[in-house]
Formats: sequence, C-alpha cells, structure tokens
Amino acid sequence: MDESSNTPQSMPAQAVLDREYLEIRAKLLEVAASFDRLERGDGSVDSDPRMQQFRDAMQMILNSTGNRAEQLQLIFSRSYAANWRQAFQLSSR
Amino acid sequence: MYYFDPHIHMVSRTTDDYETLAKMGCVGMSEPAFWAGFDRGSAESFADYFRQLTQFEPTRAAQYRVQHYTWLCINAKEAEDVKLSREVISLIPDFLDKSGVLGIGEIGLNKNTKNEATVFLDHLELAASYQQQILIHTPHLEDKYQGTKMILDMLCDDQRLDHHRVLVDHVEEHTIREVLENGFWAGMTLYPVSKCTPARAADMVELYGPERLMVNSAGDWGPSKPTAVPDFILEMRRRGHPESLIRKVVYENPLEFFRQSKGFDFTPPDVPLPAEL
Repeated sequence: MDESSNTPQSMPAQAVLDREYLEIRAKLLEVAASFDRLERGDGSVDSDPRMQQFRDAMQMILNSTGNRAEQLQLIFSRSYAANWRQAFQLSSR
Repeated sequence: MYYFDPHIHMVSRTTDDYETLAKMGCVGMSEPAFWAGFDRGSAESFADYFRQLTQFEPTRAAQYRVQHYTWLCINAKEAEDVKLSREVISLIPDFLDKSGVLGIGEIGLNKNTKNEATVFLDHLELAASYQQQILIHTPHLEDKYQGTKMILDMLCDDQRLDHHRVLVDHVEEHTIREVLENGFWAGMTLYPVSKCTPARAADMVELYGPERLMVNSAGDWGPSKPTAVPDFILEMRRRGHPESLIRKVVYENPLEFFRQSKGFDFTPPDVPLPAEL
C-alpha cells in the first residue's frame, strides 16, 4: 500500500509490558483454568479436533514471531479453495 | 470527540441507547439491513423493515441530534432461500431514492454456500445497475477467511465496481490485508467473543495505518456494546496516539466514504442545522 507513511507508531515494548503484564497474566490464567476444567470433567475430549486446534495455537504462540494473531486466526479457519466457483458451477458476471 | 458509527443495528436497540450514544459524541450512524434473529416469512416483511429503516429510525435518531443513514438488502443468513431473496431484491429499487439510503448492504456470505453466493451476485448486479455503494458482511469465526476470499473473488471479477465505493466489514487480522490491498475500504467491528476487541483494532491501525479503515460497534439484538467505538477512542488515547489520527478513523474516514453516495446529506455538528438558520 502506498499509504505506509501514515502508519502510526506503536508504544515502546517496555511500556506495553508495564501496561499489560497483569492483563496477559490474567488471560493465561483463564486458559490454564479452562484446561484444568476440561481435564476434571467426566470423559475425555483429547481426540476432539478442537483440542488439536488449541494445541497447535499454543505451539504457534510459543514458536513464532511477528504476526501471531493472524496465524492463530488461520488455525481456527476453514480452508479456501480457489476453484470454488467451478465447484458451485457459478460463472462470473 | 465527535464520531460516526458506520455499522450499527439500531432497530434492535432502545431509545435510551440513542441518548447514551449522543452523550458519548456519536453524531451520525449508518444502519445496514440485516437478520432479525429469526427468518422472515415473506417479502412483505422486508418491505415493512425497509420502511422502518428509511422512515422510523431516522426520526427516532433525530430526537438526539444523531443523523441516521441506512443500507438495504436481504442479508446472507436469509439468502439461502433464493426465491424469497429475489422477491426482496425486486423491492429495493423503489427505496433507493429515499432520504438517507446509502446503497446496498450488508450483503455477503454466512456459511459460504452456493445459494448465498448466487444471491450475493444478484445484489452486485443491483448495485452496478443503479450505481450504488456497497457494504459487505463477511462471515464469522471459522467461516471468515474462506468467505472473505470468496467475496473478494466475486467483487474483483466484476469490472463494473469501483473498489473505493465498497466497504468490506468485520475484517480481522487474517483478512484485512487483502481487503486493503485490493483498494476496498475496511471496517473493524468491535464485538464481544467473536469479531474484534478495541485493543486488536488499535493494533491493526498501527500495523496498516489509518487509510480506508473504520471501526464500528455493530450493536444489535445479540450480546453487543453500542458504545464500543468510544472504547476504541479511549484505547487509542491510552496508547498515546494523536487526536488527529483517532478522529480520522472514527469520523473523517466514514464521512469520506459515505460522501460518495448521493443519499448522504450529512450536516457536521459544528454547523447549525437548517432549521436554526
């Protein structure tokens, strides 16, 4: 895009950490507690594909740099096939 | 700070909400036609709904000095019924010259089916035939990525459409780039659980810049917060962003986009209304 010169400045990393430390801690605690709840419940959901999505998401967050939010969204997304119009027998107008 | 909510479903909200929004600086809003929470049984129901959007809501909003505009269509959830959809679409031309009608919307996909795509293409035909602006609904959650790509395919295939007159709404981290790179406007919807938070919307402004970007609340009948745009304003301020940047996203950008529609006769709040002259 040619408007990149308008891109606003992000806050310094230390300021982000100072501001969001407790918030991030609380979010991680919620995730940990949810997994404990899943484990305590009767039965097992280990083989549910949604659990694999969670595992993939956590691995990605730990191992990636940069656009983690975008990558996480894609883990939870249905795939796109460029030939969908042929599959639907729809022609362009 | 004055702001304009470019996507909010006020038919679902109380009059108290208009008062609250006005107190928080909302001076204008646009309301796309959407799903009522249940499937309507006939085209007549939509005709009444279009009258509500073009007559009743602007009057209700005006009591609080909020200027109300609207978009017309049959939404993607009810578009699975192609016969009903075509009956509804045939009603729309009679409403296009009504005061405050900005164009065709919110059209899009829901579960990304063949019928939804068929009705979406019918809406594009209508918009192109009547030179209307378009407001796009992109699907939610796991359907968003696939559905947004399909919508962009259909929009980019149609050589009659001016991309600068199309707003693609509900963008998130995995869809925003392609929308902007194709020359469309993009809307970030602030909504609990699904869609976007004020913090993530601020992140996207920092990543992509403010050009052709808007934020909206999509306040509707579900769990939603009609005052979400002021939440975004506060988040931007807390990050130290200048007022000029925030104002561009929440006020100047919506006006720039909507001014391309002949139905947009917005009076800025610092200018006396005609009745006061």
